[in-house]
Amino acid sequence: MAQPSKHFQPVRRGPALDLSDEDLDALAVITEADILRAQQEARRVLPRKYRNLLQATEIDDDPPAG
Amino acid sequence: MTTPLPVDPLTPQYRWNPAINYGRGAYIDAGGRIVSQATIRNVLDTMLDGKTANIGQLAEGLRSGVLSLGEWQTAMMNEIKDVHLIGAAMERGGWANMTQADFGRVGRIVRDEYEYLRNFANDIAAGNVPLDGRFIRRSQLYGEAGRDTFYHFASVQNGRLGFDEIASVLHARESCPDCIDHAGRGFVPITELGVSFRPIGSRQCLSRCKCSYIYRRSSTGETIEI
Repeated sequence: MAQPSKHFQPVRRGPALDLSDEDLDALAVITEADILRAQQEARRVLPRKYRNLLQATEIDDDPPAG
Repeated sequence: MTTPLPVDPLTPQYRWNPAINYGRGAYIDAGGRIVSQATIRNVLDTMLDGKTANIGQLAEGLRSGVLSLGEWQTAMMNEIKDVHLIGAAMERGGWANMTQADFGRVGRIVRDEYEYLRNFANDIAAGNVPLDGRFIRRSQLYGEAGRDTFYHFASVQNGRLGFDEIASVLHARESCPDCIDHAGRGFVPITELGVSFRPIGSRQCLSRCKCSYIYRRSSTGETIEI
């Protein structure tokens, strides 16, 4: 019986993306969506106590209703 | 009456005061004390650790076949942008202080990283990279590179403010030979950064580097540690 490979090989590896230098130039531009995503990610990896602090600050900053 | 300094979502526990620290700005705590660079570095490390864990999961996804190589590469490209944006914004004192020029500088760093990633992905596709623990570790270096961007931004900013000399300081329990060599050189002209003085992130320990920099104005002897 064949032994499994020492290095596990994936089932779905497939090809790498076919990207030219021009594609990389275009993809590397920082967009508004990139900034928003990075901000959300930074918030996600904040320790919980600071995330809570941020939420409290944001509630304080809300304008009064009416 | 003074206007309170705004909270930035990047570091809600601190505020950025742009007027202090020789005009380069610094984070201050609730009591108005300047936050140490070691603390700021620790905050950055925590964030990058979170992102590096994500990257580890993506690597596991590729290994296990949950992700195709193209899907992994696309997801990695997002992670790369995130970590360099976070590193830059952290050094600039928060998202609100990032200028168009700063975003442009991040974009150029990301462009280089995308090229390394393209080569990495092509090597994987060709079967030249075994998808073992080394693959995961190498993938995670892309996440840790956000730290290099933090120091790159600090060097640009401090150079503009007339800090014309730089020295490297060891912090790791065990440092690589490059870092030991650089720490032993003392202050060198900042113009040597990237020439004879290799930046943090490009030494043998790569993005795992725990060193920091001290910048000095040769005319006055004033120093800032980052």
